[in-house]
Amino acid sequence: MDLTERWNAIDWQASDFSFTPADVLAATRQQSAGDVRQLLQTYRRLYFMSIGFLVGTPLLMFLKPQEPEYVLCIGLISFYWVLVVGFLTRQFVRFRLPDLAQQPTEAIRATLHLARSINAFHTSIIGFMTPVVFLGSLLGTLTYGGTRFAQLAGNPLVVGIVAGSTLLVMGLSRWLRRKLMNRQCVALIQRLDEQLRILTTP
Amino acid sequence: MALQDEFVERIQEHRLLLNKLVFLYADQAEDRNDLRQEILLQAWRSYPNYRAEARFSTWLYRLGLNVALTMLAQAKRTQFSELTDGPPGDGNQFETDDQLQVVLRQLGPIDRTLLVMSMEGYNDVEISETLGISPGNTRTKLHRIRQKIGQLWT
Repeated sequence: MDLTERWNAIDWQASDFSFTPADVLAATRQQSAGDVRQLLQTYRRLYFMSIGFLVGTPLLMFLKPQEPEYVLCIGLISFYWVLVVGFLTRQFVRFRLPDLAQQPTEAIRATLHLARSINAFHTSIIGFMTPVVFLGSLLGTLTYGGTRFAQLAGNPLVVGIVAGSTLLVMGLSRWLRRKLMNRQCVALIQRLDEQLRILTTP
Repeated sequence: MALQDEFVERIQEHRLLLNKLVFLYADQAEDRNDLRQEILLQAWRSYPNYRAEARFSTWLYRLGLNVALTMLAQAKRTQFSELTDGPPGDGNQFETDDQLQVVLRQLGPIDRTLLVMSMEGYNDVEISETLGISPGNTRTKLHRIRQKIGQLWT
């Protein structure tokens, strides 16, 4: 008897196992618990990173504290992080995760709600604040060298370049919004949506 | 039909294949059960991405191999007994002679999958797509495996 015949001669039904829709639901609950934890971890990382920027950005003011115009520009950038951290703090303080083992569907719903509200906020604030942050960075760089706002405003070429590049960034912010959307988060949100549908289908 | 019902139905249709997969990669009955559970879990996770262009069985082979390779990587830490590394198990659920196991144990998981898929009648293209290698490479590997087995098989 050759190898193939021996392989085929094995009784493959000898180790029977059952697999039912209940097993699928159990697997889905297990999977969703992992996905919820992973998604929350991603958003917490984003939160701590934003706090880092909120603390770090004002430190740049100490490079030229005697230049009020430079300080103002850094303030513009810091303002963005104040808004982001303020919003995220409010969301995380309000957020209560239901027991993943006892109430998996409620836990998924709460997590999806948190993720979507943060995403919606990011989408709108990036569109609105990107030109502000860009303008702050650009003017901050120019005033860091000692140039005054009055000098910049008096030079039509500089005004043209600053205005033109800011308009360009406003246009790019729409593209940036899509790019900044974390692909892993998008995939996890889609998966949790599907798991919620499965767990709530009678 | 709901996705989960469709999945359960497909798994029920491929129960024998699952038995073959766990036999192929694990030796102890307990490890086989663990491996089966993990394959089912991963299959369910990946099922929404399953494209019907490939046969469900080849998709399951690929998934089973990936799960087995992952568990093998963990084996170095957790002593998961596998055909290549561990001694023959005493909790064998399948009636088989030791010679078949001894021969399979001489091959790595990928070569084992290649050999079994060939014995199961899959063509070179299906095997190569499952293992992520070219059809030419599949033929060469299979030729070498058969040569090696020829020396072992009496």
